[in-house]
Amino acid sequence: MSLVLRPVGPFLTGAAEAPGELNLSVRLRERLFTAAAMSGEHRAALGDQLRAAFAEGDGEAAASLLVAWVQTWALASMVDEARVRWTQRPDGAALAVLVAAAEIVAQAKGWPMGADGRWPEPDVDWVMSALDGARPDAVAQHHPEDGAEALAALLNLPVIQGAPLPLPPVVSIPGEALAPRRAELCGAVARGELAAVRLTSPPPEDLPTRLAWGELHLESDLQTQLDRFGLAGLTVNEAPSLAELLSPAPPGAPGEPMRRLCDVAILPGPPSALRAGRPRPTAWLLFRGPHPPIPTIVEAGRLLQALDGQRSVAQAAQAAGLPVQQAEELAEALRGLGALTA
Amino acid sequence: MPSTLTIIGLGPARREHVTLEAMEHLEAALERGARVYGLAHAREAAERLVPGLPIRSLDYLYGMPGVDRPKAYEDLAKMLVRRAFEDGLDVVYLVAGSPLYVNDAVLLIRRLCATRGHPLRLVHGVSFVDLVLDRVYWTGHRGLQLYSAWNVARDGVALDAETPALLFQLGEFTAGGDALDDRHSTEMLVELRDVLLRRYPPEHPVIILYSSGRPDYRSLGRRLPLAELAEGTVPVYSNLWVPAVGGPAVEAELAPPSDGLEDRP
Repeated sequence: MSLVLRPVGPFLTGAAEAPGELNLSVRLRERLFTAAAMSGEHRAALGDQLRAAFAEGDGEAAASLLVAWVQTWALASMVDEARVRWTQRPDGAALAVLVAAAEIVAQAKGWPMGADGRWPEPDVDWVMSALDGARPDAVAQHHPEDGAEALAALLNLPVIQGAPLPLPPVVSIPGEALAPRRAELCGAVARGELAAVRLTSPPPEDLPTRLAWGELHLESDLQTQLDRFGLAGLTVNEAPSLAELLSPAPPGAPGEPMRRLCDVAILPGPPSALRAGRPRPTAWLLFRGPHPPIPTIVEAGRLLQALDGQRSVAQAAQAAGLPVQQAEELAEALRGLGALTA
Repeated sequence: MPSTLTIIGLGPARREHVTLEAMEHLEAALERGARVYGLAHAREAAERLVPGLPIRSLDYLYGMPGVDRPKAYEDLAKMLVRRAFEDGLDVVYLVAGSPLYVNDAVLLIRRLCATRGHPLRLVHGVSFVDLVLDRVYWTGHRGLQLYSAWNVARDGVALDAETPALLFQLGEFTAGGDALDDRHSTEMLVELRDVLLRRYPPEHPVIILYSSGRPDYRSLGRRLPLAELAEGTVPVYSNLWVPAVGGPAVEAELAPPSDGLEDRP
């Protein structure tokens, strides 16, 4: 019996590998889209890259890496549930988390995004390890943009045609073709003959293209999802943004002694200052839950580091080298942010 | 294929100002699954009138960089005509007020359909002018000038001081369609005041006519000397009544509310 390999893209829902099939999408999700990987190997890899970027004075790279690194806290708390939900059925919220996680994975691993533009294309070493010693005979292509050809080339395997994916019809065109084909494409979408249009290159900035892009989004109920999530987006009707899935941490309880409810890191930043080449020490409050990371002043970070659940605020102020009154004000503010509790 | 295009005027805002014909068309549009389009105010009104009616929002045209209103209306008109008569769809375009009052997109659609021989169904609606005039006494004896405040303040349209004038969209301050808040309306009011002072004396009475907004949409009015026109802000859809110099005295009066309630802004 022959064994076929299924590429990562387009990352559709479903958990099972069919008999005679190795599904890299499933294996990638189960091995790298996990809380353990997010808070372990991905965070560590991004941290190493971030330190290197700081050392090289590469503000642009450092800013991008810093944004990714601080996101690993919230994503680690959300990715397991999202993965499980996504393997069961199309789910917009789960997809929003997985797309954000995919960017972290690609950045941490240094992998490019695949043909679909949303999911990482693993290198040959990872693919070989994911095969667990199996030797596939071919790569099955289920969609022109599922990355099968690149994977086949990577492994020196032939491509065979797999069953087409049950996706609404989409056409792929270069960005510069959008304005000239506006009437045809938008008409096809309005008539229900086409679900959305995928651009294979950035669209020009000119007015006819912007108007065409606007009309396309007016007519297509799935265009925004395709833009955000690639082909997998065609399976969900709507999806929140990652920011909408994050909420502020609840305030801590008043009293003493206080202890930290989040991790703290003091790094050059914030990202905008890194990009501008004028970084300053910034403390980050990093919550182990679905809460956004919060940049704050270094004094707050030092105070948090000193509050260990044993010391009073006055003692922590002394340890952090802060005036007691400032420390008390900071502690109250940090409690309100959910970073401290009695 | 249906290939129909219907424009429905929804009246100024209140449900009771929607015509029976417009309601019938809205309900029929829902029933037959027409492809319905609308800009902000019309969309909100229709969603209240016929819950569940899917309406595609054309608001993106207002927010698009580099697209002024004339371009937005031109694009909108061509798009809807194409959708109906090239794509063969059952298209409904919702507009606030009357489709026939200062609606460039509707005008373009009418012209496009006429020149190309396409049938167009137009469902009339109550105009804002009907509501606005209920707080003044317009005799009609000297006619009426109807302009946007923008035309007078910035486009060089000169009013005839011996004919009463109704200037609409008094709070408008940009050409891009994003003039929904009133904070910058004094810019327009200052320009308008200065232009009007060239033809009218400072003490000439003018009446600001506006709506109380949700939920009652009462017609409200404020009479003041022209010289004081720019001393407060006004919502974008406010209007200015400028009585004629030497015209009937009654045209310079603020009429009481027509809804039987006290005049409390």
